[in-house]
Amino acid sequence: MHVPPAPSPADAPSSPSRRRLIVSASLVAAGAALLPWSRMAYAQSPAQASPAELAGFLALSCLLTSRPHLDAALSQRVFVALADGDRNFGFKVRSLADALGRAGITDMKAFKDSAVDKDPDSKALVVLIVSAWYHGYTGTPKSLTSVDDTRFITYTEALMFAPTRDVTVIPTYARAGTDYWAHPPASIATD
Amino acid sequence: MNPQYDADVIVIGSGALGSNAAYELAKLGRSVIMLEAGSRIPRWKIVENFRTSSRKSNFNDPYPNEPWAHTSYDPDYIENTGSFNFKPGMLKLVGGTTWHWAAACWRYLPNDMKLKTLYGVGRDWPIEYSELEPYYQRAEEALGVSGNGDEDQSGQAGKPWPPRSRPYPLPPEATTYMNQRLNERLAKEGYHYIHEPNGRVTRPYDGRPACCGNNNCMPVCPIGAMYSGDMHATHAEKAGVKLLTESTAYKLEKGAGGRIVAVHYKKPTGEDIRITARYFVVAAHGLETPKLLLISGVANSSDQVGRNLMDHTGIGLTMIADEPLWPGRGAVQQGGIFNWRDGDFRKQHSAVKHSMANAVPNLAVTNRLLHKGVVGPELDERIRHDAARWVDVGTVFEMLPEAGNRVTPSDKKDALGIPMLRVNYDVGDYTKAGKVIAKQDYAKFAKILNAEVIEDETGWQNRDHIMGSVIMGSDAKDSVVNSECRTFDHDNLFLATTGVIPASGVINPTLTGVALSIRIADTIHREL
Repeated sequence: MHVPPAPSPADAPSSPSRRRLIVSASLVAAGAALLPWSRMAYAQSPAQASPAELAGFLALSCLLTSRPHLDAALSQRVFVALADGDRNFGFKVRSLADALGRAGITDMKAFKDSAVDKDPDSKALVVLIVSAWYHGYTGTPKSLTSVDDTRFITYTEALMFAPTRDVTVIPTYARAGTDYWAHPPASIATD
Repeated sequence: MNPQYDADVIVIGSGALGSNAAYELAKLGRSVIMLEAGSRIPRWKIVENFRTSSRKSNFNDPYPNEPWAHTSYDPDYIENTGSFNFKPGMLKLVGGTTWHWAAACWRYLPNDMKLKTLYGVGRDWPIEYSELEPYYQRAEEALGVSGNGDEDQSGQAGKPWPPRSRPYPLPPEATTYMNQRLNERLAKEGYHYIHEPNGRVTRPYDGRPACCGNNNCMPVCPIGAMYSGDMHATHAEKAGVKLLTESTAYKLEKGAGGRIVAVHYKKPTGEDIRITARYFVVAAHGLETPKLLLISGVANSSDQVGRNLMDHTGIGLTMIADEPLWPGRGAVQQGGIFNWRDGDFRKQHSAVKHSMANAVPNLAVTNRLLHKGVVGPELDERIRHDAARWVDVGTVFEMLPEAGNRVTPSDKKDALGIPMLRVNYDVGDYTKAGKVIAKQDYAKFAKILNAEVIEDETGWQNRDHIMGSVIMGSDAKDSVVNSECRTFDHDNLFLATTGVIPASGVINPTLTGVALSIRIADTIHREL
């Protein structure tokens, strides 16, 4: 009788394993300040974030996305996902915040053509952070394969849905019942 | 003494085709065992898997991908050797791939089935449209198809076509505001917009609620308004079919007189089981069905098993139009342009179908803007502006059967030790000639809509419409099954798959597959 080999982690269904990874990384991040270094579970763990660092990242995210308020738990998820595999991420975030401060940018209306906008590394980091908030995931999805480097952050809170929220749906959710789509949205004259 | 059997009929595969065949047989009092390689999971879990997926555009991602039942996007599942990366989005679970299919329910045209006779290319079907028509009707009633019976679906602005014996079971949904506007502007230039008959019910039907535009037909309808094969898997069970999940068929056993006597299947635990029946229906989709025949060494006296593989390999066009149209209100697709569905041009080049997508475009829109470095207040403004005007055209081409386009068992094996798939696939000249025509249309569409073209050179794309791989014909020397979907080599072995389709046309083939499967059930019932 043929006995199949035990599934390796790589064979496991992608969503649950990804979910486990995110949850464990978040827990490690949350508890990081309390843990001695010797007890850190994984060398690659992005667990160095201190409460001050997370608060700084949340404030930076609010500035970059032009939002007065963002969810702190989501902000931590974004930080952990982006810091995974990049031990310098915390340093880069602080440097970006400093650069924005030096340029006097307290509102993104002042960002375009600023010194930060013109610095390729800073601009790339801005886009990376904004992308995570708007897409609701980090990494780059690859088509036609079950393997890529993406990490789930949020679905319904992904900022890309906010500008159209009064007109279309967040897919899987409904809006106004069967055949509502026959009529133009109320905003059509000003769209 | 008469031989004893485990069932009258064993159906391999619990997708829309296998489940409909099994259900029809059970309703007629036959004992049926249905084998399914994958598991059964409820709709709500698939919906939650989607919502928490970081790969929203990957329609396989919310579904189980097990070492013994891979989705087709598992890197090891399909090995490609041709010039095209043939990767249809196939699933293995109860209900099969109609969990994510957008539910287009077209009938072929009478002319589609006489391609060789009328246009001198490809192959004819061995049956005429009129023979299939009653089964189309039954399939539409099974799936709850909403359609407009007043249109000329051949795209020539003529009389209602193809002929119907009865009206569509359900009326069509309202035309979206976007499609009203596109229709108005494109019609002036001679383009015929046709409503797509679809398996989304417009009023409560067979326990399903009316579609209310959750805009997620792919990868999962959250409310079950859209048809999926699990509905008939459940109907079949209630009618007495024994459904065995996580049971992967790997061998059809030949007996005396060229008859198939048993199927062998494996469980993830390693159990290896043999069951017997008087008739066998393989409904394991257009890649797995030929693979099972090849690894079993059956039905291949013609050497055509696995050959003649066709998709409706396509291309795409993305534009930003000059007015707000607001895609994303309603289902993910609703119709398209059918001017090139049928005509004498098919002597020279493939038929062409353009579909206007109606998916909420925010991800694609936002991704593009961020790649361009748009941030700050401009980002929200541009998302709204571009999402309102986003026009996404998906084009498909007719293919011709070519022996070199082929699926065979791979050297790689799954966790059960069963070979996975190897595909060799190239796009032929007939289709390439059709692409030239499609690109001319693209330029006209952009001009009519005064649009900014975002992408009009996508390269060839998968369309997940697997045909030809166990081809139907009238001659045992060049075909795998006859007009009844019965294998020429084995009287009691039928194939319920779109893989039997010998002339692809440009329409999504699932409804035809279900019609043929119901017909298989009738044929077997008569003989039992």
